[in-house]
Amino acid sequence: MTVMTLSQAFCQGLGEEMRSDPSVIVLGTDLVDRGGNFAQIKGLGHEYPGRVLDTPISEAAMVAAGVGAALNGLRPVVDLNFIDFALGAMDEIINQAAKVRYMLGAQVPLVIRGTAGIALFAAQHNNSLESAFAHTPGLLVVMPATPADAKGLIKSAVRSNDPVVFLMHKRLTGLRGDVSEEDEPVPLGKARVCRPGRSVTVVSYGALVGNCMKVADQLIGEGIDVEVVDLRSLFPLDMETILESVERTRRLVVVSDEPRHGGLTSEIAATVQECAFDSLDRPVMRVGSLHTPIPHSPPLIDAVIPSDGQIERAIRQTLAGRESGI
Amino acid sequence: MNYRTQEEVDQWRQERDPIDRFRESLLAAGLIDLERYAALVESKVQLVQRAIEYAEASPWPDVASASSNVTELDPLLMGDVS
Repeated sequence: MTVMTLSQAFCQGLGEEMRSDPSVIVLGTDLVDRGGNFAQIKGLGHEYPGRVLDTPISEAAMVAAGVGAALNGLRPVVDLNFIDFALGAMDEIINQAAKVRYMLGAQVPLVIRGTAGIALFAAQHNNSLESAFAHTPGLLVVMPATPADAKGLIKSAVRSNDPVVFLMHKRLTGLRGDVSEEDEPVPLGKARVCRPGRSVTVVSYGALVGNCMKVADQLIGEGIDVEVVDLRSLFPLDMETILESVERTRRLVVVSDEPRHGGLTSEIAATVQECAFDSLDRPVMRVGSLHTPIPHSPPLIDAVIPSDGQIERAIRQTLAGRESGI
Repeated sequence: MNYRTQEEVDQWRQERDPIDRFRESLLAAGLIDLERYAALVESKVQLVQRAIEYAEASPWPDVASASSNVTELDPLLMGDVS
């Protein structure tokens, strides 16, 4: 095990895939010398000359080139910097990459990497697009919460024969954690129980997993034993792990920093009530952002995105009326 | 820098800066004289400086304003019922 940041773990995982598979290439801006805006490709440009390509700033062209390269036997990783820049390539992502297998019977082993989640940088660099991608048939969507999962998930994403949208939360770029030197791909579509508990299930992904863990650590002092589940994959969703957990705890809170309306938290809440209604003791609670773009001013950001206090209140609401000592 | 050499950047800055070229074209067309141009630039620099000072001297915005001006609708009608 080595301690490294989430960006370094991503870079190491991608580097190992480039070493073992000469068909893996990387396209994007500021990659070869700069190593990407978040140091996520640092060193790979010089380690693999000719396989990391600095492109002009046209996201549509980058993704279109990636789809073409994928159709011709390569495994391209298109680095879009901020995932917001995918908005300039939506036709290429949703109407080309996601549709080619269905319409033409050819596989598109393409990874589209983007930095996502809510932090500073104001409205146009803080779109939560994960639900839009997860809503699109033909795309897989992942978002690691730890350096180890960043490495394991990029390995699986590169090996996937379908397009994978790989999201890295801004707040986690420098998050440090243990990463294995072994080749340990994290399977797509598998959640991780990062804290087993008996009282209530809290499901989240990306940076909010850390907030949920923090709240769980505080509540254990009161005998509230929170189980925290990190989705890791946003499509496909690991409903099996979520349902198994809810059937034990009988209570569920789903937490995200995307606007709550029409998002992943709603999808999970709906599926759980369909499949496990009789297991639930209380209504499923959702915690998300307000239905607003992300402001620039720090106090306004705090007012818009979920706080630890909101997560805690939602957990307490699912426990209202329970016998003490669960 | 991956796309342009420093020489190319310097050359554009020194010889092809679009603001400088715009000034030259205004002068050449007789639409403005150098004195008036300099006064205009100075007034804009001061305007930006005053805006920075105003912003830095202002209190943080009221958090109640965070979800206003998204649409014409009341924020409460847009699904934020919690």
